[in-house]
Amino acid sequence: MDDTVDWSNLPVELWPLIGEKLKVRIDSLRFRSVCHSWRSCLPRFHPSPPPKFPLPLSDGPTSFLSQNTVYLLQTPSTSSLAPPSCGGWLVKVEECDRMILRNPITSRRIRYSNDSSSPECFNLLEFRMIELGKSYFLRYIQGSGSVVGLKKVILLPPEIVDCAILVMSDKGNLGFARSGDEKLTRFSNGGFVFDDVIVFKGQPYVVDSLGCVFRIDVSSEAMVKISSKVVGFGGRKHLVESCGELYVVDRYFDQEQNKQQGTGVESDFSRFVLWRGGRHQRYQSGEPKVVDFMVYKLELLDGELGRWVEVKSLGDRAFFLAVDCCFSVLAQDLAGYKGNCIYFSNENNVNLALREVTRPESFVFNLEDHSIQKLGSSPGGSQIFWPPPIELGSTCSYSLD
Amino acid sequence: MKKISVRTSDGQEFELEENLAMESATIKTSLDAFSRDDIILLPNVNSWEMVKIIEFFTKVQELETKFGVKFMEKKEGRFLEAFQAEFDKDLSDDNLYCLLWTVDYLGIEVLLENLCHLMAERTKNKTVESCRNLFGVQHDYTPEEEAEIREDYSWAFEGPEIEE
Repeated sequence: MDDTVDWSNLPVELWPLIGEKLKVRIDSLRFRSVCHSWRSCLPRFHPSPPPKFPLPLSDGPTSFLSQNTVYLLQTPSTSSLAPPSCGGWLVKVEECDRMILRNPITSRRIRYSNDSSSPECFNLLEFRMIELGKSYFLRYIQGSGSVVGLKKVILLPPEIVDCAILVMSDKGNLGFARSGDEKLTRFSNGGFVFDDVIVFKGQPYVVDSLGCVFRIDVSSEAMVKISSKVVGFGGRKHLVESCGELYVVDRYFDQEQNKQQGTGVESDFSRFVLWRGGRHQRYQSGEPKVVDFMVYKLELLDGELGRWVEVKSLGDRAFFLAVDCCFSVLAQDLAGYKGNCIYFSNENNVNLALREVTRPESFVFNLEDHSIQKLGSSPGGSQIFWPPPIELGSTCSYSLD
Repeated sequence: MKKISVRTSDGQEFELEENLAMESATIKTSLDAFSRDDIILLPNVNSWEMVKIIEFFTKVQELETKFGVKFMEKKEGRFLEAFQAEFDKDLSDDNLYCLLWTVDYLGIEVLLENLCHLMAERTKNKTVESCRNLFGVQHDYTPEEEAEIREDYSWAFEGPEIEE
């Protein structure tokens, strides 16, 4: 083996073979920006057709999978070697024909106006874009609107099954489908109402409304209980992975409006009535107000059900409860974010958020004093999503949510 | 199953299963020209690389048995993920270079696909500049060409919308 390697000796026919493996537009853009020969060996990116899936009451595949990716933007100087005050920026990108910028928490589309001909967003020549995670949702093939009635969609890891999803309905039921299947397979949930589903260490896990966590074996459709329930009575549980461990975040709503599952259908209908009335009519969400959070870490024990241990502090990490996914970030990697906080949206309905029927807002919950603040109202608070901190030579002005 | 003997550049001899040997277009060509009892000389392949190639090939066969499908037929994501999970962390960039070169030389398509995928993954999450540094590539764009690239980014995104 040589001590030093000269990459220019790599047979030129390999570069197109390498470049064509990049299925995400950002990665393809980056590859084509490196030099002439890389650029010429890869054609302009064309997204491959998204996989199609059936829906709960449909025959045949009537929806397609849409993907959001959350990226951390960093300028090269804001690496881990730089002073902590130089943080990066979070942004969420939906991949479709073109890419769409979204608020990383509310998924609301970020709108901007420009005076010059082209806003220089996402100049990859200056930024480093690190993928933090992906989230998914389904859109109807007819019309491309986001599918109604689904709380969450996850893509199963390819090692388990190629191109298949688990969907969770607003009512807490779980379904499974492979790409191109005619029908969705509903998992019998034994009376449980599920709140969240994630992939953790390569396996799908669900949590029910009482905080019991199950690992799902897709091939046998079995649910293996791996924890006892959480001692907590919040209205909705979220599963978050952080540093290789599994957490449950219990969201507490205003007492008077607690446990609204039964009114799900009625309140959705009333929103749609108003929506049809005028395309841009703002509707004040009837979502109950969040008043508190409790965080628990799962301790897995050999041969016994795992137990939940209350977590009083997240230390230097921040949890994000986005409307369609949950993730954790080291706060110092981000400009304007604090550790030991949970960032969340007051809109729980993915479909309403994406269709922009409601205008969700982002909030931050501080574990230290259990305080909740709206982002945008605090100084510098509105700037943590957009725009990025460096001058792009832009003549754009940005309007924030 | 018949074994094919090969000798690497550093003089080591390996006995390859016939089905692995036949995956290599280069070895296959040699076999067509010479008798199968001869030792095939591979002056461009060293023993470390040979060991790795045998390891990779064994893994691919294992996955094909597990998933019940030939990789080259469908090139499913789960092959790539499993291959990556097993081998990626122990391969330095320089290692990967050597293996890419060798596998290309030997003409083993199934391994080339997997290694190209590993390589593509390594270009992710980096700035363009660090890609250049890593792969020893010169920045050879004129300012006009750079402007064209910036345009690539802006129109890759949905056009601006004016808030009412």
